[in-house]
Amino acid sequence: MSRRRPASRRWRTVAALSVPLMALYLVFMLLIAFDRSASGILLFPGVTLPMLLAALLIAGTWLTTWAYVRWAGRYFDQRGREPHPPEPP
Amino acid sequence: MNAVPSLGARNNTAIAFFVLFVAVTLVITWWAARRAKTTEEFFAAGRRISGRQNGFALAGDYMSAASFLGITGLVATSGFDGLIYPVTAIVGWPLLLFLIAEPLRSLVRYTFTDVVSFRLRQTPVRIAAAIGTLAVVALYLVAQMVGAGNLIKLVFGLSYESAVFIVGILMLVYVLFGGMIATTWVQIVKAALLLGGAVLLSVLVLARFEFNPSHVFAAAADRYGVKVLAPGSFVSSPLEVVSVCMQGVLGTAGLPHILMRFFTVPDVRAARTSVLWATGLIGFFYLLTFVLGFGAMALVGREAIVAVDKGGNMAAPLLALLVGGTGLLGFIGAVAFATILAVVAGLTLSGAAAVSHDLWVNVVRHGEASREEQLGVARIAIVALGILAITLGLVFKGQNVVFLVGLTFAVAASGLFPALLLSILWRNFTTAGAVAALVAGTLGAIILIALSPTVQIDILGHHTAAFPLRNPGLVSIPLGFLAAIVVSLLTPEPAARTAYDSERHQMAFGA
Repeated sequence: MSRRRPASRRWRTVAALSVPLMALYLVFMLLIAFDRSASGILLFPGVTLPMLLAALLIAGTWLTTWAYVRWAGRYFDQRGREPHPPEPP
Repeated sequence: MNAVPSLGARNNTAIAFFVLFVAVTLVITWWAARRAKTTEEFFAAGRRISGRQNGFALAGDYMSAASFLGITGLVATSGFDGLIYPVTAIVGWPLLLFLIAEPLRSLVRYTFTDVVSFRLRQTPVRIAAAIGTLAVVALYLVAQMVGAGNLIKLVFGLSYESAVFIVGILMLVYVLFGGMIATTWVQIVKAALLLGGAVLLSVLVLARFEFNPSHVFAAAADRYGVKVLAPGSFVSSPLEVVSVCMQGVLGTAGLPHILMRFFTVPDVRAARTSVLWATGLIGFFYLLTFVLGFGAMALVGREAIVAVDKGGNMAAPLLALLVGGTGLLGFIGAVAFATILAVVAGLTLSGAAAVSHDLWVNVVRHGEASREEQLGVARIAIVALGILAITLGLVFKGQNVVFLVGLTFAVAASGLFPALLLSILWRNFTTAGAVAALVAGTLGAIILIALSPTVQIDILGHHTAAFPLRNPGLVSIPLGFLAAIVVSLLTPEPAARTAYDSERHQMAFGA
């Protein structure tokens, strides 16, 4: 197996996990920055869309971290602690 | 209901709880002092802190009094706008884990400057990074000390000056004798207390609203109109929102006292676990601030909160007084005092590591210094930082220093974060590029805030400000990255590239 592969697997996983969270955060940020009127509509008594997004982002942050830690624990455990010593040139 | 007269009087419950906290933490310090004999023990707690313990300590470092009192107060007085800060503050954590924490722990070191400089020429990078670290530490210290003075005056009935001295001297005892071991355990105890206090207060608030958080929010909307649940005028322009968000998310990954915690765990796996615990604890705490903030708005009322403190910082203590009487007020006050004390200790230790390890050992002594000498210099630096903290706390008495917390994040995001990130990720990064990022980002953020409406209009009383934004991140973060990239491309450094290639394997996976 090539030396580069685990690193690219790691980056693919990181990207797959970060993109949804960052996209949700971008929606949140743009909504409060540029769309004040639409963001004030109540979804149900006491809760507006930006408030729901805020709570989802906090929960989503933890879920993203949890998913990565679980993936990394399994992936690197399967390969042992130090799976790929640098190959001699 | 008139809560105000009870504040500012001597509160014996608060003093009793605080004395108990001090007694427990002094025992911890005594125990830690017998172990903190080597530099590895002193700066990195012997790398024996478990993932869960470090998660609590990270959460403790991150949940400063600014989060507890400041965010609750901001939500209570401004409504939804106050929630932008906790959301922004937590979303950066996965990035910190993916981009920084794992590589940082893989390269077993003491300070984040070690990681920035590992393949570059030591002297220039270390000087620039240590100055950036000390700028962040000093700015954050001022904000914490002034906050401590004001809080303790109101909750404990002690004078501002004596509060500043108590925080300064206790912090010195913890850090000077117990090093990272004591600082970590003080942080763990405080994180548990802060979460316990916030849960207790939230339960008492929710008990008045059928244990349904949306009823709390609805009650706040009934009292002040539904607009408090939507983005309002606190953040004045769209660009300001983007700027706050950028510096909040990226600044987290550049705070020296947070980064230093990743050197205290035994391996990369524990570093990952600690971020999982930290985001869980911090996220849970921030969700509670929704209830506490809107609860204070609905139950205490904006007028009563602003009457005590214009910044709204007394919202949580006033809420405690209302739902739990002076006993609970005392407990919450003691928790807030402990919070400030623990954060000040963590900041001081990271400042002392920058002076001793980065400047003295690696710049002045070129890496050759005995253990006694390293610890001696660290202790001198700790005393100097303690004196500086007390002096600045006294000098800034009565000033509005809330903007300093924002500036801290702006400097961390604009100077320290680009240097650290590019050092980890970019092969062609050079010594001159790192120095350029640190100088341009740090100075850029400080100069822009000096030209901003916060300083020009609010503090100096001028009519206009040269720079329109109150948060410089939108400009200073790209400035830091641009300086790093342009200067690196102009000054190729083959030796740095070779050293990067030999270490990148270790950085990606951890040993």
